[in-house]
Amino acid sequence: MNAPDTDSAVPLLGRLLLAIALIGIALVLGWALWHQANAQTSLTAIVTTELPNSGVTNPVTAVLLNFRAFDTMLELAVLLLVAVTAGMLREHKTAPSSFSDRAVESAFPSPLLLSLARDLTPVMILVSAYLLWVGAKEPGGAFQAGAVLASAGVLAHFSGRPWLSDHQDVRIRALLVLGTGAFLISALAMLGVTGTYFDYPFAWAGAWILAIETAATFSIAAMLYVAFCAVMPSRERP
Amino acid sequence: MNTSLLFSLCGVALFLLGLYVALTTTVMLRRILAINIMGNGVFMLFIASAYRRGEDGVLVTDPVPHALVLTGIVVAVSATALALTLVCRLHELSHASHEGPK
Repeated sequence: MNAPDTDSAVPLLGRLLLAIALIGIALVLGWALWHQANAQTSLTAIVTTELPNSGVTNPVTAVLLNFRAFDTMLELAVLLLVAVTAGMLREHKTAPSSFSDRAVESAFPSPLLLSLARDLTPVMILVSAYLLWVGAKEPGGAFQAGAVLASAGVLAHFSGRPWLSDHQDVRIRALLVLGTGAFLISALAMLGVTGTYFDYPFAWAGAWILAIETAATFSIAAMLYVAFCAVMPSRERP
Repeated sequence: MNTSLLFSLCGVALFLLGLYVALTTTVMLRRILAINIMGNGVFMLFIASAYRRGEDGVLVTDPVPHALVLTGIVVAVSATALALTLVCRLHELSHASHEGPK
């Protein structure tokens, strides 16, 4: 393990040369930006023209869930991959480390924390649902909603009432797969209905996007919570 | 010199500061943080580049970079989570090998 005192393995001369090289790169990039400042490379016009056909009125949501839905599906696949890896590392834990043991002792739930979690959790769920709903019109959407929902889970974990005690629970796995699965199913369904992946018929594009975003919210919240739990000590000691 | 350019240059500075630390440090946690700062520099540059003056002088925002940055933030968060999990695991394993099997 690296000792914090010997922070740098690179000798002073190497660091100096690196700093000079980076300053050179900074000058080149700055010069490039200066000359690019007024370049017209904007997709605003295309998005504005197509926005009425997307089913939502927030252009960012339209890009994420309709025009570039493939990117968002792959993003959820990345989340799934991270959650699977974190879960596997947790399952194959060999020895409890010393800092984990200390953390368990200090995480004894206080009554104040318990009542805070009890009072805040409904508000957090409500805020999360609002963010999900408002994403169609204004800034908000699946990731913001999922992050708030996951923070409710983190609060529950810290107050000693974790939502999830068994990490091999089928329900949490279902939640993790839900987002990517909803995207895949919708892509295949759209292939049957309109003949193209991610090409939603206008009449129910809004409802369709909301359904996918709801699935994505649960998946994102589950992933963030699983990733958080993976670095937290487990309560049951072997 | 307008605001967008200023933010872009700050993004470049953040990226290079992060790059310097990521290349020189040997502390894992510091390196993860440095890579995050690099990513934030890129996001900042990208968001700043989305603000343009249209032909009629009105400030318009391009939603495509915003959406891409939102996706990028999610991926950066999950990559950080994965890196932290691996660092925790490394810490545990090195402790286990020092103390011997329990």
